[in-house]
Amino acid sequence: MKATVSGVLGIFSHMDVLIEAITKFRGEGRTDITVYTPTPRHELAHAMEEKVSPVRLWTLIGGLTGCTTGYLFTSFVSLDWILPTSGKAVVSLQAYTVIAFELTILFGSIFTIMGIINHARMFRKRTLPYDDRFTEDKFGIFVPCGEGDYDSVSSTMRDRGAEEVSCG
Amino acid sequence: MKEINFPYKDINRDILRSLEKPGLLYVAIVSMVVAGVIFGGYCWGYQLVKGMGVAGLNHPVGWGVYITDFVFWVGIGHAGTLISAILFLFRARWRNAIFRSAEAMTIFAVMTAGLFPVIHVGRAWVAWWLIPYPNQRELWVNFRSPLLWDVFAVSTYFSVSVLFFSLGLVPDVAVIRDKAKGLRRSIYRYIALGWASTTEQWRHYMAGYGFLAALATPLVLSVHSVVSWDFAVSIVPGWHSTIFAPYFVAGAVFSGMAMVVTILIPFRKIFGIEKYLTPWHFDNMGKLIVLTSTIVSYAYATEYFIAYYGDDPFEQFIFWERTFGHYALPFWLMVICNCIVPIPLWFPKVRRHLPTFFVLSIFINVGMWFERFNIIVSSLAQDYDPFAWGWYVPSWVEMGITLGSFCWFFMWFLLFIKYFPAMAITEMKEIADPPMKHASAGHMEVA
Repeated sequence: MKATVSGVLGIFSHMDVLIEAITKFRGEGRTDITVYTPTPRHELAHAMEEKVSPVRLWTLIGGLTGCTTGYLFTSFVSLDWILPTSGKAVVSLQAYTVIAFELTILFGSIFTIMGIINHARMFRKRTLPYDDRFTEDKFGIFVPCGEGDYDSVSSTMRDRGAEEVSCG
Repeated sequence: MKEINFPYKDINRDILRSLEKPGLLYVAIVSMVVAGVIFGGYCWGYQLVKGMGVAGLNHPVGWGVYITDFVFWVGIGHAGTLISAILFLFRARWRNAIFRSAEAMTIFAVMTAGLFPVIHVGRAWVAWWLIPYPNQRELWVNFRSPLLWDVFAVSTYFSVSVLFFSLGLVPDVAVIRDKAKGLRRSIYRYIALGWASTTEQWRHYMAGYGFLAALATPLVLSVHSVVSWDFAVSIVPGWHSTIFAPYFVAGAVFSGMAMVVTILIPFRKIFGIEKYLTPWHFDNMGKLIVLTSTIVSYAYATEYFIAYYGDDPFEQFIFWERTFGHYALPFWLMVICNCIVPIPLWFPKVRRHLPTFFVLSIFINVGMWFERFNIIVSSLAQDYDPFAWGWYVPSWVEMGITLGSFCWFFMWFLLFIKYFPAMAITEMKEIADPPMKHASAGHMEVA
């Protein structure tokens, strides 16, 4: 798929070289770089100075929604069609706790997935250059820049250990 | 850990090998299990046409093999989430090689379990009345019933397991996508959901994965607890017990781990991935089996103690009858397979001797099926009133459907391993040393 954002893509074989390159780019104020890695690594997260993901808020909102729905829905249906059973309360909150618990987990999970899809920008067309080897054993850095800066950024990328550099 | 530390490229190549064109052995096994599924389907069709009379169920034993199968299969599904969620939170690195297969097993086991309430109700076409929805009769389901808790617990467990499993698959599907060509590439591109393997994606993915694991952990403990309350909340002797929830959960993990072992030992051999699934993994699984077997054995003993100490003649009678009465055979099979057979697994040599472990795991599976049968049938057959007693013998239809359910479960698993990696590629890379130019560990590449 053709990339729609222009810039320079560098491919790296070694993680320590990649981390050095990230540190230098970020040291120069280039916080708009995109880094590719076959597997998540704490070292890369530190180099990218990653913040805590907002996905946790989705989980919290989902869980609270599920719990509330569980109690309200069961109470509503019990009052809508009253089923007297010996001396038991029509609205039996203890019994409904099981349903509320299950819906807390269910809604929390669904909202978490929605949060990941939203923040990780899944289900969207790729706009940045990509190399199939990023899911195998190669790492990458993409620096967005205009056509006029291709030469200088490519040269910097090579100086910082990139084994292959492509522009576009 | 060094024993499963391989270069990233080798991990891709070795794990994706299971997706290559299948051999004759694979085709033969798939044909056999498909034949079993067809036979099971025929038996169910026969029951639908002729009515529930063709099953051995009758007064007073209204719950028989179908509910036994239901509880058994829900239990089998417990190991997957235990391995993928609980061991993930504990950062047990040995899970990385086995959790994908175990998770797949969970999905297929719960899919199998879900068939049985539908089969059991007889008129399968009205099974959806269990779902609460606004209807013209203005009726609602009874949320005070443990049977309805079960509907919510099992369907939530299935939904969350599918979400957790699918999320875990995404980066690995991207690996297949990037290796594939033509139509295959287009298909996997859609399933990969636009995964690009950037640190930004990994950041949100890992955070969400952790939260899903945290949500799945209480869920896995709750599901079999809720299943156990189907029995424990009633006042039937032998069922009405407060220890049922932990007892069932331990039994579920016990049977699930045994099934993982039963599947993975031949799997590693057939696909030549012995260097990824080592005796070290089976050693750890064996320890969990030993632990849960001990809990289950303790629970069996506690049930007897409660019956003795509680001084309830009905309770005492049912436990005496289970041991020496009409259903003594399933009881003793249960005790031998679940309490005595696992004893050799206390020794590391046995846990690491895979042919022996494989045989023991099959005995445990058999024992756990009979445990459910023993609990369900023996209590119903001899309730409070001797006038109402009656014996239950499963019919060929019930056993045919049971056989079909095993084939159904294995069929899905066999199909899965041909289209998706049965080991998590990215998580195997996580525990491998990354390629470094200036480091001294792992598969360092020195110029």
